[in-house]
Amino acid sequence: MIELTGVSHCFRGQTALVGVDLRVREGEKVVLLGVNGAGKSTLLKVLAGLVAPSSGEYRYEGEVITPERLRRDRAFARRFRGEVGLLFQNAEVMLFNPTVFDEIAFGPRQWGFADAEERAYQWAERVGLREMMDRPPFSLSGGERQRLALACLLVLGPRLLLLDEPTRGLDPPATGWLVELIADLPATVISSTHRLSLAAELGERAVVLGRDHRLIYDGPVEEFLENRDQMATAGLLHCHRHRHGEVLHRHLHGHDWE
Amino acid sequence: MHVPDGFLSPATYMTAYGLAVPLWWVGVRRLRHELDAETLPWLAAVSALCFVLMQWSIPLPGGSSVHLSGIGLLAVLFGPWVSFLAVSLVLAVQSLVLGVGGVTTLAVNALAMGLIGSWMAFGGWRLLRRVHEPTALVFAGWLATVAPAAVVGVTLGVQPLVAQGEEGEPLFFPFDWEVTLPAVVVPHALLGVVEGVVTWWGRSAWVRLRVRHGE
Amino acid sequence: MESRGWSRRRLGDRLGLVVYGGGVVGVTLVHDPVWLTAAGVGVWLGAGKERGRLLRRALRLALPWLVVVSVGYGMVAFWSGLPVGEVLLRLNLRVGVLVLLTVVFATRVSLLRAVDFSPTLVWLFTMVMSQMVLWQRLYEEFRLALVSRSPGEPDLRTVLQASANAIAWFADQALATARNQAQALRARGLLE
Repeated sequence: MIELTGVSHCFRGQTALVGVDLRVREGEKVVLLGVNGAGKSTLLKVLAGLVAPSSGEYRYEGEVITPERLRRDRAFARRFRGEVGLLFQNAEVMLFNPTVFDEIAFGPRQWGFADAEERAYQWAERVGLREMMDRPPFSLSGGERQRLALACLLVLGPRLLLLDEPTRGLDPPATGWLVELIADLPATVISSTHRLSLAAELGERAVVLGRDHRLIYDGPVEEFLENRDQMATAGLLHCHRHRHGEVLHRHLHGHDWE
Repeated sequence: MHVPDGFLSPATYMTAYGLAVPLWWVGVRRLRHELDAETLPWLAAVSALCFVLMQWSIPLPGGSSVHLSGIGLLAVLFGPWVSFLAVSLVLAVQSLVLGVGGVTTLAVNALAMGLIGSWMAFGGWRLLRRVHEPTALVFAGWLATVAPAAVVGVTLGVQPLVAQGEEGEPLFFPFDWEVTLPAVVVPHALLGVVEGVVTWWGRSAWVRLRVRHGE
Repeated sequence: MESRGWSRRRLGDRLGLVVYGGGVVGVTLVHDPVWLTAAGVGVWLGAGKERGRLLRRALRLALPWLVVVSVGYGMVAFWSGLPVGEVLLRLNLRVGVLVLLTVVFATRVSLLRAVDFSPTLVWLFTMVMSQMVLWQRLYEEFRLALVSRSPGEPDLRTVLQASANAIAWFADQALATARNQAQALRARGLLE
């Protein structure tokens, strides 16, 4: 479904991605790991056709994707944007309608679904925002905004869902709910996170970007989480004093997963 | 709409600075009086907002796009004095730090966009808001675009009259106001409509947001 | 304690500010193309190692204005027999020199160090600039989000609606930021 070949991205002298090769099959649940600034958000934006690779090629269902092509080929853009949904890291940037209801119904109306209103109510119910339908989206709490943004994507029934730090601002129950939701979705899902504790929950395959913006691991999540050296290279472990029974010592570890 | 350096004669920009400096001083004093200790954070935040608004581009049908000025909205949301000072501050940062826009013309731009734009928008809104709020807001946004354009047009247009060489040839901007005024004002009268709609919808969205916050 | 390097650089920056201010006024007082050319060459040589890049940047900023005004005036003057050559030469040189001067100043001199006789001004410029950078990035995110959620080019109504809502969010953020900053300043004992 997704084919990236040697994709690099560089903007105003800042490198975000270097020679990334990646293939993802339909229905896979992939978790994208890496420290802040490793290029996770940029990679997701390339996959969403919002950012053009400086070099290399991105194919979705065999079609080369660039923002230029999407601007030129309207019919293709309509299909692509309908099938591919990106949850932005700051979910509030996705919200620009006067009410929660209009926000969820925006996509279905734009794509001309006959049952736009019905779908909007359905998804509002599923993300637990049914009581807030006529509130302005910006007046919601962080977690509510995150769920609203997610509903806006899911209401279109996407085939490829790209989630940038989807658990940001979610409390533990909401995080649990999201993990279940992702597992049950028929869509291909690529979620990014820097929290190791969530890696195994968000997917079975891990793709890891190193601090040098290259892909340094691609394989089963469990295997990656067992390899301390690799996690250290990716910068996902940290080191500070630390109590083991009576003894105080330092070693590399990742808190929320050990 | 920013006038770059080199088109205005010293007599013009010196006069503008002479007018602007006391007005900046009065503005800061008024703000201090109203906001007490919170003047600086206010100015910084509204200036950053003003900067973002000036970057905002609205794509128009047909492939072109316009930049907002946001001055109408700033004036109706935060009052004309805050708006004037914020616009001046943004113009200063743009010219001195980013190297965009003019330094000699800073005062002219600040007076045209910041002072006259803000006050016209604020006045227009106050005048009409009792009659019909949306119309008042659209009018405010439109005035905030057209009034500064007219001031800039006239300022550029008087250059060949006030700054001439020995043989009467223009030393700075070469066209007189019969050319500049329509050339600057007519396009802005059209752009002002977009600005007006943004002012109306932007303020409505803000009020909705505020009301909910207040609950 | 301030380091020696900092205060020396600060002195340089204040000097830079004064020289720049004087230079800008000077260039608007001189009308002889020969002197204007000399000033331009002087600024360019004084611009340091990056002079090539700075010159290109200055030209990019000045050219749109200069081309429109020059071509327009050239045509009008040609038909009505007004003096053309020297007027246009003078105008282009003057605008070019001033823009170059400003670009060089903005790159070479730190405004923050130049105004650090006033803590208020330093604070104001720092806050405004850091917010500007942050919000510019967020503005770009708002734009991309609208693109990614639309089936094609969003129509004017959608763009205006989305902009108005995003702008209201920015305005609200501005208020929240102002409130937080006032509290932060107070916590550090700066406001009272």
